[in-house]
Amino acid sequence: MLAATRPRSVEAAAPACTDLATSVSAQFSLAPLLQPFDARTLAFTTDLSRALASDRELRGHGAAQALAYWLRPTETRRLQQYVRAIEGDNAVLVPRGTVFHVPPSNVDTLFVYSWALALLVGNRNVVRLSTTLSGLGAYIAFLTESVLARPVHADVAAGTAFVRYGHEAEPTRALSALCDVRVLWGGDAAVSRLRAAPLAPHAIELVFPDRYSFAALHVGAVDALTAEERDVLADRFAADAFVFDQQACASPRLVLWVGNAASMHRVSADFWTRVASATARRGVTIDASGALRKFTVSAACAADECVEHITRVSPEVTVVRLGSLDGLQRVAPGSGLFHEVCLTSLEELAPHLRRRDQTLTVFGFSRDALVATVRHLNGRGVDRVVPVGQALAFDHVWDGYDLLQQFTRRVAVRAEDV
Amino acid sequence: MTAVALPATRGVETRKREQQFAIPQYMLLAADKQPMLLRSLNALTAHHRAASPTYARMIDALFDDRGADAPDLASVPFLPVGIFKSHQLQSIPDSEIATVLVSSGTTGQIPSRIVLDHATATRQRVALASIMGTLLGPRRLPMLVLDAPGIIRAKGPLTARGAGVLGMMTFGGAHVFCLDDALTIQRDVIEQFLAKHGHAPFLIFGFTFLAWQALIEQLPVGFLDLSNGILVHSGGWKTLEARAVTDAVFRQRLSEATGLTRIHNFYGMVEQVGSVFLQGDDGLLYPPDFADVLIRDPRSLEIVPHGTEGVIQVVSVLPHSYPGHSILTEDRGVIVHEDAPYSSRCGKGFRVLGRVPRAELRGCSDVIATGMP
Repeated sequence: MLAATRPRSVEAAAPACTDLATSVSAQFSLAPLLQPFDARTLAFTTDLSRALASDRELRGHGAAQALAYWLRPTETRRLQQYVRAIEGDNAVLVPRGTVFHVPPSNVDTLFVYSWALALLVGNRNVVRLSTTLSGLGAYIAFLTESVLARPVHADVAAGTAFVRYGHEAEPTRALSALCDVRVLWGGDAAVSRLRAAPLAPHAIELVFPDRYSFAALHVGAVDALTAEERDVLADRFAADAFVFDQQACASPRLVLWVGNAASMHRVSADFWTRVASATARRGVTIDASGALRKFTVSAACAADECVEHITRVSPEVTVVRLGSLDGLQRVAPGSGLFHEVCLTSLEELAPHLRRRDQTLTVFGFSRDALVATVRHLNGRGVDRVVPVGQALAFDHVWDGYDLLQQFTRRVAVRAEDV
Repeated sequence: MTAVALPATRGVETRKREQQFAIPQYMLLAADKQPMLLRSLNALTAHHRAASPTYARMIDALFDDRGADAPDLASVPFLPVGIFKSHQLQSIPDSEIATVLVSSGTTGQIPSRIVLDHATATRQRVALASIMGTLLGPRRLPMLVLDAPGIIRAKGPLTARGAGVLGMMTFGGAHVFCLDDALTIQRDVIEQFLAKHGHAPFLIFGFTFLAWQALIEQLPVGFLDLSNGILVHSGGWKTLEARAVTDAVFRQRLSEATGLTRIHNFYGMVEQVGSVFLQGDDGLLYPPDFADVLIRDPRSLEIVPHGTEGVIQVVSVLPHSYPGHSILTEDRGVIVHEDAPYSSRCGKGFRVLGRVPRAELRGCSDVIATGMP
C-alpha cells in the first residue's frame, strides 16, 4: 500500500499566511531564471519520469505510469519542437513569470501535469496541495519532492514551492497577488470562491471547473467487430471510466449509440457485459458506499429524466437507458453509473449540449465526420474529441486552452527590412 | 389482491389491517408473519404506484417485473433512503397533507422530507404505542426526560430530537426534564422526582449520547438510584463510538452507576416513524409484527444469509401517505437469529453496526473547499 508520507514542505499556519507569500517571494527572488526547455529542467523531468516508472509502490498504478510516460525525454522533446513551431519567425515565446496552481485535491496526478507544463516553459511555480491529500496523490507529491531535493536539481527546486494549507482564504489571496498566472481546477462553487481573490492587474487566469464527458459509439461499427475486438473496445472504455473511479472530468458518463435503434439494444447489452468483465479483469471493485450512492442517484434519475430502464449489469456497472436526452441531469456519482441513449446521428446532440460538456470519446466515426460534427456544434460544448481509451490522456491542449501558449508570453520581434 | 383503501374511507379491510399494529407485538412466527406482511406490502406497492407517478417511474425503471405481486419479501421493491432527501414523495393530494416531517439524519445537511396525512400519523402513533406497551404496560408511568425543556419549546421548527422527545412523552406522565439548556444535569430536579416516584417503575427517555453524558459523565457512581427505572434511548452511537462506548459498555456502566437494569435502545428513522426496532432483554433489536428487516449485500443488493453483515432494508405496513413502506437504509446490520426458541420474542433479532462508511470522493468535483469570504 502507498504510505501517506508527509514530505517536507512549506506549511501554512493561518496567522502566518502573509509570511507564506513572503517566503515564496524571497525564495523565488533567488531562483535562477530558466529558459524554456532549459537543460536543467529537462534533466529534472527525466529524473522524475524515471523515479515514477521504477518505483515499486507505483507498479500497477496506471495513472502514475501514464505520468511517467508523459515526462519521458521523447515526450518533452516533442513539446519543445511544438513550442518552436508556434513561435514562428516573428516572435519569441518567453515564460510569464510565476504560476500559481490550485489543482483538484483528488485527481491524484493532475497537479504534476499542470506544474510540469508551466515549468517546462521556464516559469516559477507555486503549487497548492490540499492538507488532506492522501493515497496516490500524497505519494506522488512525496516522490516528486524527494527528486526535487537532489542537489543536482537545486535550480529547479529554487523556483518551485509546494504549499499545503486547508480552507483558509488568506494564503490564496496572498499567493494570487504575487502570481502572473493563476490556474484553478475544481468544482464550480470552489472555482467561483477562489476567483474572488484579486490578481495583479497584468495577471491572467485559467479555470477548469466541473465538466461532463461522454462517448459516442457507432452501432454498426461496434456490431461489425469480432468478439475479441469488442473486448478490446470495452476494455479501453473501462480504462477511461474507472481509472479515477469515473470522477475525472473526462471520464465518460453517457454513451451515445449512433445508428440503427433496432440493433442498438443487442449491441449495447453485449457491450456492457464486456465492460463489466473488463472491470473485473482490471480488478476494479466499487465499495459499499459507492454502490449505494449509485443506487440512490439512479433512483433520482428515474424520477427526473426520461428513463426507460435501469440495468445493474454488475456491482460495478449500472446502466440508465434513456428514451431521450430531454431532462438529462448530468449526474456524476462516479463508481460506474452510465447513461445511454440512441441517436440517429451525432448532430442530434446539438440542442442538448452545454458549455460544461468536455470530452467526447468516439468509436466508429471518420475524421471528416467528426470535424463536420464539431463545426456543426459550433462552440456548443465539447472541448476535445478523442478515440475511446484516450479520455484521460493528458494533453497540453485542455478544456480549449493550449497550456503551453498560456504559460508563455509571445514577444513580437521584427527586424527592419534590409 | 385487494388494494388498500384510502385512509379517508375506512373499510373492513383497513380496520383488519390496522389491527396488525394495535395488538401485542413480537408474537408472530415467520410462517404467519411473512405472508401477512407480504400481502400488506404488495397492496402498498400497488397503492403508491397508482397514487405517485414519481414512485411508479422509479420502481418501473429499477425493478424487472417487480410490481405489486412480489412472491416473497425479498422481491418487494425498495427505495434508497437518500431519495427522501432529494425528492418529496407523496401518495396523497396536497390538500390532505397534515404535516411534513423534516429531519437531517446523521450525515447530511440536506433533510429528508416525509409527507404525512392524519391517517398515517395516527397509524404511527398507534403502532408506537403498541411497541412501547410491551415494555411499559398499559399505564402511563411517571417520566424523566434526559433533555432540556427548551428542546420542545424553542421557537422555530421542531428539531428531530424535539420531535422524538414529544413522541415519547405521550407514553409517560408527570414529565420532568432533568437537563438545563446547557445540557447540564439538574441534580435537585432529579432528586425531587425520585423522592416522589422512585419507589415504583418509572420511564426514563433520552438520546443515547445525552443519557451517557448526563448519567455517567456528569454524576458520581452511586449518586442516583434508578433501579426502578426503565430507560428507553435512541439516536445512534456515532458520538459514543468515538469514546469507545459500545452497547454492552453502556448497559454495564449504567447498571453499576445507577442500578438501572431495564435498558432498551431502539433503532428507527424519520422515514418510517412509528415502526421502531426495540431492544429485547438479550440486547438484540426486534421488528414489531407489522414490520421487518432484511439484510442485503450493499454491492449486489442481493439478500444475504442470517449471520452475514450487510446493509439494512426496513419494511413496514405503516407508510400510506408516502411511498416509504420498503426502504434500503445506509446502515450496516446483521441478523443474529429468527424465531429463536430461546428468545422471549418472535421475529428477527438483529444488530445495527453503524453507517456504511463513506468513501473518499475523488475527482475534479471534489475540490479543496478553500473559502474566500
